[in-house]
Amino acid sequence: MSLLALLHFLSFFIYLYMFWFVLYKNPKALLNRVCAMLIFCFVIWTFGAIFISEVIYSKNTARLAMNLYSIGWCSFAAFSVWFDLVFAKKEKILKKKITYVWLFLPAILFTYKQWTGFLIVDFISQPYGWSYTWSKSIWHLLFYAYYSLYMLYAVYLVFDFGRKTKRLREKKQAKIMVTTSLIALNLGSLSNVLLQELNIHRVPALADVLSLIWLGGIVYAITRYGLMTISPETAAENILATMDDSLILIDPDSRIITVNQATLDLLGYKKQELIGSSVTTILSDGDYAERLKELMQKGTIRDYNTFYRTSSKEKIPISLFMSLLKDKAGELAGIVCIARDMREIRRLLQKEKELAVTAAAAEVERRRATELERLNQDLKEAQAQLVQSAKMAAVGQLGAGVAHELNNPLGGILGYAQFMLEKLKKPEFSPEDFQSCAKYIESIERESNRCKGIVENLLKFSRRPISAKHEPLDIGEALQETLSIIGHQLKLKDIAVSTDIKPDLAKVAGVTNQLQQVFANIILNAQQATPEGGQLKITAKNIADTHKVEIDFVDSGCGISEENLLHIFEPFFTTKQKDKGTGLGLSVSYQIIQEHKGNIEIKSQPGKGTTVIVILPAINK
Amino acid sequence: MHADIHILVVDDEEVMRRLFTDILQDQGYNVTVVCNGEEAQGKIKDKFFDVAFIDVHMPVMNGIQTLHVIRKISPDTAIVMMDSFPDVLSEEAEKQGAVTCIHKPFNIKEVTEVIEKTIAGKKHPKVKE
Repeated sequence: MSLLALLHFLSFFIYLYMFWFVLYKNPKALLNRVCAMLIFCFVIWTFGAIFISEVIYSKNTARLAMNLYSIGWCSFAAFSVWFDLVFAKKEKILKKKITYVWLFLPAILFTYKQWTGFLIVDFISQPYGWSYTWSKSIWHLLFYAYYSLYMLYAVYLVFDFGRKTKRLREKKQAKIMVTTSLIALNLGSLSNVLLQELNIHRVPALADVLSLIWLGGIVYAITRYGLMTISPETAAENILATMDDSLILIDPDSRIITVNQATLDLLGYKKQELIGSSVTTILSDGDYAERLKELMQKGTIRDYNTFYRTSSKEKIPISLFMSLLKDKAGELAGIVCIARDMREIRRLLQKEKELAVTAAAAEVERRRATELERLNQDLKEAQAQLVQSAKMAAVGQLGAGVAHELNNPLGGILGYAQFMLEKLKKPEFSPEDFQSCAKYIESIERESNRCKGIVENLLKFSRRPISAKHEPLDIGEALQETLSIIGHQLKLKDIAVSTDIKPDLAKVAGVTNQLQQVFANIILNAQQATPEGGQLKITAKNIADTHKVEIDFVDSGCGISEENLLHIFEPFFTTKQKDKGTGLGLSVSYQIIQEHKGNIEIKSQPGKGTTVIVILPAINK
Repeated sequence: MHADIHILVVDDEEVMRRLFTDILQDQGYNVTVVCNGEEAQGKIKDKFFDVAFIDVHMPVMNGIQTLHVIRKISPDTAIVMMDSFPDVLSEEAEKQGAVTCIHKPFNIKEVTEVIEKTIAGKKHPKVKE
């Protein structure tokens, strides 16, 4: 292989490596792909050039090779422009379809013209291989014009981009690319066009090899300045493609660089429609400019509430998060915007609110129930307390009667005990004395038992019931016990008590102590209503066919006026003097009878007397 | 010993009547016991009593009413009231001419002492027919 062929061959491999390298770096980025295509032009070119670099190949072979690799040299200018358009972020131009027509139509046309013999027309044998001559037709001039203009335009794009960009890295990249491409363009044109045109064939055409300088510059930019390794575009595309939130990457001039799928779904645009356009086209104007200033100062803004404008002009409320995206060198690369669809948030908030309301209502309900239960408990407690208070008030009223009741037997006990002691002191103690003493002791025992009974009944009456458990009880017994405590009270007031308790009286279920309280209240009321003496008749009988027991208390007292009868069961209602009554007796009695599922009724005729009727449900009958 | 001394006891309590009977008879007094004021009225009309023990709290006629009745019929009978708890009636009785008032439960000495004092203070008892 000749030295020249080897040179092309090596170049071929270098281009091939570059091609692989660029795609390897980032196969998905458009920049890398276009760059690879540009490199591929030179891959074809250098490969074809091998076959005109040695005379061992025939003229026909050389022509065939030339026709093949003309694809490379006809197209590189177009790919170069494309590459630099991408590099310079000329999104708007790239978006237009017509761009690709004017880019590639000439390349195809000139390739066709080469194949049909309008460009390189002849090959001249040289010591280094084959030289060639350009045709004299207008086409070869047009070709010169085409590639020169395209290449200059491409260089201009990079130069302009490098001049305008504020990013130092991009400036450096642009500088390298402009420099290397200009060198390669000039040397290549000299080698392949000017010298051939001037029929100076001693120097072989080396534009393809010389272009290594240019493409080497690009690759240098890649490795040295990371042109293709990490770009905002690729980062956004790769990482954020699967995000649920809408993401928009915009450049510092607020033009959209890319958007993710979520944004497209939300807005109803196609990606190509959005890229390159101002972000304000999809944002509902508002105070974007002000917010942008704020963003530049702070670096990040959150909860910017604004609206998206969809392709169908619908407004979607969004909460926008914006953050400056900086590169390694700390330069502003773009702005990341993440928009959250507030409709969903609002819906969720609403739902949460509703749930909270439901939960709160449930909580309120629960608290109310607890409170009610507590109040109920308190009420029960208060009622029990009231019953007890009323009872103690009644016991208080009994005081005098009970003292009288107790002091009589106590007087007997004390008297007999002292009497016997006197007798025992006497020297003589006859059998008669002995008999008398036995009689006195009997009296003492009897009177002691009487005291015991009174105290027991009093305690039984005044004790607060441990449990209000209803047990079968004998009303007759309960009445007698009650009378044993307060009977004397009546006697003192000259009230004749008569009881008529039917022997077949049915038992009732209840709390003895509580029912006795009711009876005591009624009896004490009767006593107080009869200050001048009179009668109290107590009757207890079964009511025929009703399984109920009726207890009547009929007194011959002063009676109750019709008006007072209306209030008789009200708590604290009393007609008595302040120290004589609490006004609780009957209201508590009413309550107790209610608890026993019974009924209490009062009938009265002023001046003639009062009848209290207590009806209780019977058991066992 | 004291057989000529007549004592009347008015009490609705049976044990009291028995106690008075037993104690005073043992000491030789002539004891008459009745249940209430009405009965007392009947007895006092029949004979003179040196001392009358009257319970303040009684049915039918209370102690004060009984006191009035006795004083009306037999003003020279010494009257001793008995009560089982301090009461306005007791004070009232003393104002109305009762000698004294003893409180149940009393010591039997109080009873005998009050009788002896009363007798000592009355040299010439009169019988009112």
